[in-house]
Amino acid sequence: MHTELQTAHRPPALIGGNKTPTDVTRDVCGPLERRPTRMWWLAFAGALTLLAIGVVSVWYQIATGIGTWGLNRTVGWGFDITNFVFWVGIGHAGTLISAVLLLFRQKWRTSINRSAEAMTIFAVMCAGLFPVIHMGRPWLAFWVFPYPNFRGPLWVNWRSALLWDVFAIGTYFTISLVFWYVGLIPDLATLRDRSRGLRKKITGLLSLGWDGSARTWSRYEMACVLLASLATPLVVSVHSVVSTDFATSVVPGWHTTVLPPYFVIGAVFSGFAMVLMLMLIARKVMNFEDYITTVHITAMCKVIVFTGSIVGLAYATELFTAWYSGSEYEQFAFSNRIRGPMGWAYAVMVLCNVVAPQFLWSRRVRSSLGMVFTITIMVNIGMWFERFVIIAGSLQRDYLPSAWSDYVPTSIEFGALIGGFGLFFTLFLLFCRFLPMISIFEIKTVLSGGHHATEEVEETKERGVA
Amino acid sequence: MDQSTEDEVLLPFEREGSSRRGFLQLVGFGIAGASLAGCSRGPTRRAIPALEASREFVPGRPYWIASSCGGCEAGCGVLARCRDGRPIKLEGIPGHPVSAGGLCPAGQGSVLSLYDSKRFDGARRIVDGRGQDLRWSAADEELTVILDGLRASGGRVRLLTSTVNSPSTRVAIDRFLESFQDARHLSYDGLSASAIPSAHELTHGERVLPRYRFERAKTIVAFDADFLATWISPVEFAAGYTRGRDLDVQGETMSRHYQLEARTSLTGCRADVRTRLAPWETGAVLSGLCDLLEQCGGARGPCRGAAEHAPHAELLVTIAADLWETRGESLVIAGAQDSEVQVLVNYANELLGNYGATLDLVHASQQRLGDERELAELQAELADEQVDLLIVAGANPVYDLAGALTVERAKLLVSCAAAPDETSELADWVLPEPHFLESWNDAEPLRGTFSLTQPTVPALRSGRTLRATLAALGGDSRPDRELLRDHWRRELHPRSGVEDFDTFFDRALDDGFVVLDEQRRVSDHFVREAVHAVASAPAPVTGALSLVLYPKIGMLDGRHGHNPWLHELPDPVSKITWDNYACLSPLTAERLELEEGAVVEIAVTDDAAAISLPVHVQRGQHDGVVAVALGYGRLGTDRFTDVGPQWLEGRPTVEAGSVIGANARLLAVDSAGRRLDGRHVTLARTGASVELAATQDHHSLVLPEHLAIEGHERRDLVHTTSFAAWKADPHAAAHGHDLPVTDLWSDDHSGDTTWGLAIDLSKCTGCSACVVSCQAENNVPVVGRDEVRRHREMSWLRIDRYFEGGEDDLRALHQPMMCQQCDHAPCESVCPVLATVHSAEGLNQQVYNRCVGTRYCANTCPYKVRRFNWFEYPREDALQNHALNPDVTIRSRGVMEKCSFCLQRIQEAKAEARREGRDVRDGDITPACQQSCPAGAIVFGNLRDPESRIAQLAKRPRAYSMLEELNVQPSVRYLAHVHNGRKEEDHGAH
Repeated sequence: MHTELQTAHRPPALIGGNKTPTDVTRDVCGPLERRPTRMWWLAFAGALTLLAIGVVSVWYQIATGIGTWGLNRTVGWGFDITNFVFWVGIGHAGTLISAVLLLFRQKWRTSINRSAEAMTIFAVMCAGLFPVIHMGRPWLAFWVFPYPNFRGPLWVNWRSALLWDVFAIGTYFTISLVFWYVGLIPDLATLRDRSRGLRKKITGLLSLGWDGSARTWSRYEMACVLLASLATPLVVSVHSVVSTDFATSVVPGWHTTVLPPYFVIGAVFSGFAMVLMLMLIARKVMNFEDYITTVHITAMCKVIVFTGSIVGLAYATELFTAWYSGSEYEQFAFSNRIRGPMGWAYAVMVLCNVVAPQFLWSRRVRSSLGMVFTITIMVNIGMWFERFVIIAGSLQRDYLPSAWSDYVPTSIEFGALIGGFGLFFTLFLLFCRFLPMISIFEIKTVLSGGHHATEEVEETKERGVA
Repeated sequence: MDQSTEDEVLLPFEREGSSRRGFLQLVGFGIAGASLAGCSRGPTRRAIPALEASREFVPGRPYWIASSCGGCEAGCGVLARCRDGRPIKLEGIPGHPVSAGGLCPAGQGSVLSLYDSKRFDGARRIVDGRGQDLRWSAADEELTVILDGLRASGGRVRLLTSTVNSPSTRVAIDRFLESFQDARHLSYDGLSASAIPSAHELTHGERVLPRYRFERAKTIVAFDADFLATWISPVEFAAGYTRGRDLDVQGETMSRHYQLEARTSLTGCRADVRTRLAPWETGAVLSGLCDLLEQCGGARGPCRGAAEHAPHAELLVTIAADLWETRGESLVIAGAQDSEVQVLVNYANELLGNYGATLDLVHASQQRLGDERELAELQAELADEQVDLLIVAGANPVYDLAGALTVERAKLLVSCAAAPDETSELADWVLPEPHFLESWNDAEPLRGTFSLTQPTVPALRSGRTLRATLAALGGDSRPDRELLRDHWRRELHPRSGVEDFDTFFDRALDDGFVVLDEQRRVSDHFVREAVHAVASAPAPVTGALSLVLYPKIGMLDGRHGHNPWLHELPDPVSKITWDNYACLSPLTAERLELEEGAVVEIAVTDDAAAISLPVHVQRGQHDGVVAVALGYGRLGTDRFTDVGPQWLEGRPTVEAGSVIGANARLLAVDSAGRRLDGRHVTLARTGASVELAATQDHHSLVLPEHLAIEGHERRDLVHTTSFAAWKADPHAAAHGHDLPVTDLWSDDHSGDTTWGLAIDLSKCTGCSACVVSCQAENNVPVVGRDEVRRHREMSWLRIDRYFEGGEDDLRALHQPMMCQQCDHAPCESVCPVLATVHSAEGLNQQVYNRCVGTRYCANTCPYKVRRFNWFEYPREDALQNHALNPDVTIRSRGVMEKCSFCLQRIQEAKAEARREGRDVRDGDITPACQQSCPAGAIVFGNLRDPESRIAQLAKRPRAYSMLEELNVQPSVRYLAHVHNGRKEEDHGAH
């Protein structure tokens, strides 16, 4: 199924199956124009079930009180903010792949950037949900926005890292959405040209009258580069800002300057794992084996093993700084993290995030889809636990031993956790159904199978006009 | 015209020449006013216009009514703070001879009982198990017929009460009983101290309970007496005790407190020297002590030779030396209900010359007058069905004696219980007594000290005091107040030296008490013949344990069993709420293979009685005992099923149809109705297990061994030192950090006020009165057992308790912990919506309306004093909403709250000062915690006023801030704990 063309003088082909541009268009658009497969329906039903569990849990929690979660006077954040940080992290790979790799002209990104960006948007939507529902009075969530009002006027607190979050996440979501949408325009035009009736109307409206002229393309590419440049700093800034929720506070285990890079690299790490996991599923379910090839998988595996190693380094640095700080509270926080009541979570975290990815050094592991898939899942679990360990694990035992308290999540919290995944998968499956999962026009630039790749790309562009 | 800007804004039309703007403002106001008028609820049909405003009731302003606390028999003076016609808070009367301004948790909590909707409303006759409400007059008529029959027939009438220290009631009782041929008044106490008067009867020829003057004692030796928490008059004793140890006043001396006890009591935890004493050895140890004292005095006495065989011989030598050195200024007390032991205590005090000094027999205590020896006689009569009429008032014998007193065998049983209890369940008539806050009464807690109780609210439930009831049944239907005044006119006024009775009475009413010259003569002859050495009682056989029953600080003998505040008050030693439990020492628990929460059946070895309770592993307890709290298992406590939130995973505080805890008295009464100490019991695991609701999980400043970092095994959060070291160097206690303080920002508030709190850890006894006081003042909700288990208690003020030392020399450090009002508050900078902000006076203010509930502030609070409203917390009894303080907002679900330094009181004092055209003076503002503290450990004031008391305290070398190294700059100063132990002294100045 994979066609790894490893010859001495040619780089490996990114796209297998000797595809022509026409094939690409047909392959990508085809599934959207047919009835959904049984597999899709099954997956969608599953995702909706998860979402329903989440909706019921969150509804119950908002109607009854945050007390339906297992939080207490000592541990004020648990699953809620863990989920938030986790989903923000997941989002990172999309931006990294589409923006940073675009600027670095990494051609292998073309097969996965569309889904990765979609994933970013959905992940950020999931992420945005948790800070809202974790509030005691979520119906007043709009108070975190600095808008003119008649309540004094009351203003927001610019010193609060939570407020920085609002802007970091808001900016991130906006830029990601715009970038993703702009990237979709040529493909929407393709869809428009291939369809009739209502679908044509909608795709026509969304493709903003794309005409495929050279001038359009030129401006389009400029816009893409500009947006990519705008999005690139966000890769670093968003999770750095999220990390300041912890780094700027006085809680031992949170109060450490290593957190911003630590969080960013962890985000890229978990994001890549999630992208890879989704791609492994999608190429099977959507028959995209030729588009998402071993080359892509290998490249992503390498990113994972690289970032995973940095994450491991971050864990070590964290321990070192705690020791080096000489602060008894800081040292105790890490002693407790490793050997305390949540020591098992720390072990899960190290096993999944540091140990598991190291197997990807081996080519044999990298080429085994089953192994890669397992590792990506482990990384996702591990990264969730990382946030859980940092948040709940640090809070449970801080300064005064009298106030120490354990944290036991309730079924409602598990419901919200499940609901997050439900929302994510539901949105992703809808995306697979209604929008081209793979960037058609960009794939055509990296085709190696056809003889006159470049001309055919031009051809396609012209067809877009017709 | 020279007008201020403010006026311009408010009154635009007053400016010269009306502008269009002003016109529009007026039009706008007019329209708004007209629309608002349209929003009214329509005409009020029934209203009583206040033609003449009441002098007392200024809406929105509190007023105070002096009264006496009815929470127990100690008779502390209280000022009831009333708002709009109802009492909402009790506070001690400063300078009161008993309580000296403090109040205990039970006293603080008793205001809530006033609003207990389960209280009886009017007289009730029970026929065939069905209650029938009657008018008082009708009840009196019917009962008078019955009583006249008894008077004629010579029927046997018995009146059973707890201590009656109301002189007017005693007169009414005597008068009532005189009209019968065979009538007797018997009294016993739920928490009895009757062995002490009995012992004095033997040694002094008079049944008298001395007044203990702890403030005069330089050496205090207590055997099992929990005098700082529940023993006889804890507020009085705590005040005296701390005065004798006040480093600021005493300077050169500090009393040394030895405690020898079986269980771990609050008092024991505070002692300078504490050791574990088997309850069966108390007599032997005391005999040994007396022997040593005899030797010191060079006398040969009845205890000769006892010291040789006495346990703890080594310690006894030290104690005896200390006592002898401070003879005449020392005090030996024992909690044992054993008159032989108490005779030895008297003997020790006599040898030391303490009578007349630390034991006052002239102004003797009247706080425990019961004599339970009489109960056996009553039970004999009851068993033979010879009692024609039994009236029970102020006591609940069916519960207290666990059914051993068969009151139901009286031909007619009249209960005067205020609310349904175990005894009233069996009664034929219920003539309820009112709550003390809605009735007239008087008391003589100490001879010569008379206090008055007066109504603070029109009666919420129709009740009648025992005095009025007995008078009415005797044909005297004058109102209660007249009965009381009549007694005072005849008996007390002549002693006062005040010419006019009304002046005398009104002044007493205004003050709440009056102290009259006590002319009593006391014999100073000590009957040595009564003294003889006591040998150890038999120790429990292997496998058995000696049962120790003790009262909890809130529940006492169970009389507060319907008070949710006191149920949720963490026990100052175990930190457990909402339950009683079987305390075992760690070694015993290990030996019996029982862990915390394992439910055991406690069975008496020579009796069928058994109860089931969860185990609590209590450090510092004697290995041979199991200690169980009294006061639980009260009838009707299943009412608390509805306390706290009800949700998917929530468990009810108590299962419907069940009760809270178990009545431990079931194990300790015999068939003659006697309550027994030290019964031998066995424990058997039932297999069940429960999670006790504790507010603290880690009980030591020493970190868990497997987590501790080398060199930082213990967190130095409660600074402590010995008296000797402190005397040698006052800075010894302040092993603070003295870090250089660097500020990135200029001072947040540059005014001349920073409110602060100073807490003297040397004085704090951990009694928790402040906790309940804070709860009452600040409308802190009750959350129920399950929420406490989940660590979501709402109290704004908690008392951290850390154990130090080993099992044999256990000591507890108590540290009241509330919002530290940091100047660099970590909570303030993290709130995204500015719901917690700094005031110009250095307060960290929580704005409930603005809070969206992110809980970020609570996470960053290093002291973890912020409390979140996880749910809506309605009261189990809606009537108790009347106890809410209208000055403090009720917080809704989803918002954060915390200690405000009683901001409402600060505002009130400022308004009052402004009204009087002066500045706020030091001492004008007293937060609820400070007000209630019997030990005077808490001082509030302005840290920036160099003259203020708090500024003086903050300058003391003992003063330190918590977690100073974080530079959050808290406004609370703790004064290091100083103890007067022996060991350190050896290394100290001498």
